Amino acid sequence: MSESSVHILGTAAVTPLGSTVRDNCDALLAGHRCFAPPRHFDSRGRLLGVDPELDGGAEPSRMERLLCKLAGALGFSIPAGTRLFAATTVGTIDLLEQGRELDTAQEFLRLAERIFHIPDGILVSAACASGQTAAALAMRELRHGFCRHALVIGADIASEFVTTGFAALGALSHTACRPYDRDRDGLTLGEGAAALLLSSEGPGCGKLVAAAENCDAAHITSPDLTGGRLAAVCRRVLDGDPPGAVIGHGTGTVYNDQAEIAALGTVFSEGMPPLFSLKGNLGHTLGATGVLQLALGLEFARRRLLPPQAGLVSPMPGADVSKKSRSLEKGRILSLNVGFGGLNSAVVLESV
Amino acid sequence: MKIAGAALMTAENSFRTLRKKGDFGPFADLNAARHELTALPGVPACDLGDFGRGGMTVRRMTLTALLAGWDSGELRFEDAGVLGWNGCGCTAENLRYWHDYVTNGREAGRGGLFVATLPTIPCCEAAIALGCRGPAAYFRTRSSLGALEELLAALPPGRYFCSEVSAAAVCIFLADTRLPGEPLPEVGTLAALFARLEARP
Repeated sequence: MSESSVHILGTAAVTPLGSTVRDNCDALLAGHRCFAPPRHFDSRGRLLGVDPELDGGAEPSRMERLLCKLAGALGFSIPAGTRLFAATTVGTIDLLEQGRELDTAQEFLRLAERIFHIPDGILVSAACASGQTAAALAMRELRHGFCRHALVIGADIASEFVTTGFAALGALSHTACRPYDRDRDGLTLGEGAAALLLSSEGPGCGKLVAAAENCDAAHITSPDLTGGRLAAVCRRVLDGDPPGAVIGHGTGTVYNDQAEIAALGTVFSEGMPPLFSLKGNLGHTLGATGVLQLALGLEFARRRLLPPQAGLVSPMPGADVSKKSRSLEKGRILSLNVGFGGLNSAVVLESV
Repeated sequence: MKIAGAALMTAENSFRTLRKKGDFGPFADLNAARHELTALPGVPACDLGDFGRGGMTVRRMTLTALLAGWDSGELRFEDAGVLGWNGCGCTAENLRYWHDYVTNGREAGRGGLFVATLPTIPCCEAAIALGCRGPAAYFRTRSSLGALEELLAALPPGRYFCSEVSAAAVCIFLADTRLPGEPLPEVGTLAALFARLEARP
């Protein structure tokens, strides 16, 4: 099997902060946040990273509006022979809320195939590591020659279903999330979508260099607080070459951030690279977050700039986070995803 | 790709395995199945201390994975991954959580039901029980064994429990992608593959 890099030919990101990668990057560098009470359900005062442009009636569904918005924001054409890799956690969960008893993941895949005009797509669901897991699978299929081009999309919507579920678990912030902060108190949910067009043929605007996934096999909702298995995937993808920055999963829950910092502390014992989490600006976009991290991470790498950590007051011990934007020495980024069930994912990308 | 072991659980709480021709049950319930199956000679190392925590899908998946491991003759699976493929996903769990929430309201919402609303949860619970620390994920593709074989060929070489969960059956194959194996018939489901291979002399 060839271990060559896979070329990134195009990126797209639609969030409450913008409908292009550039606009989102500018907003993050300016420290903007998008948290507000949702209008499409009663969140009982909880703030979410909601996109008002997705509000409307029952038809089309909120997820369909999000995917159509992403399709309209691609900014690149999809070559013939492209394979679709679609990442989500709960898919078209808004349809289930409306009383339709259907497989929301299957319906998500069907919608994505229709909207992006690509049949026989592959749905990838790995909890909150879905996005990077999909990108990793696409990278491997390209390396094996199973397809020439791959469109990786990740999408999830803000929903009553997920909000009440996380509330029942006591995982939501009482205000707005503060990733890697000493006094963080939980996550804030968000919604968004992103896309990567990958190819075995270059050149593009960047490269996916390596990816690895594993499982803690320790606890169904809590990460292994030693970060041992997360550190293992980091080491595998870095292969001894440290990155210019780390885009962490950084949900702002006590346990997630603790496990991540423990992992990074063992991997980078001689100096932690600058660290950043999108979730301080956008909230936790679930299955979209991994693809968003890669799309926006490539833009950070190209600009050699890392945004300020939104929500930060006092950094937790061991976390190299900052209230100011920072310049990067290298256009090489390590991106992390962590998911329920102890799932860990690490991807390295580089700008060209 | 070598098929190292396989197990099928039916709706009647019966279990069969492919290589050792194991035939167990029907059991009155899954607890009875657990007691008998974990007492088998050569059963893999496992921790079923939280067996009651998961829902029915998790319990069915965990026991069937245990038997697929037993069928392979191996005792430990630390390097193995656990994958979900097609089947019914987590639709029943989604409906259970949502109906509970709508019926009982926010204050009585049960987080335990919410946790099950991801199609990877049965894979991860089986991984915890068997100590599998390889990748875990759920994939939906066209209903073709060829599509699954392509997925497995793309993943890092190793051992993978490949599961297909439906209301009628749970079928799990332990595939070793490091080793060559015989060509497999083109079928649409793992349960159909199990039936075809089981019928071979």
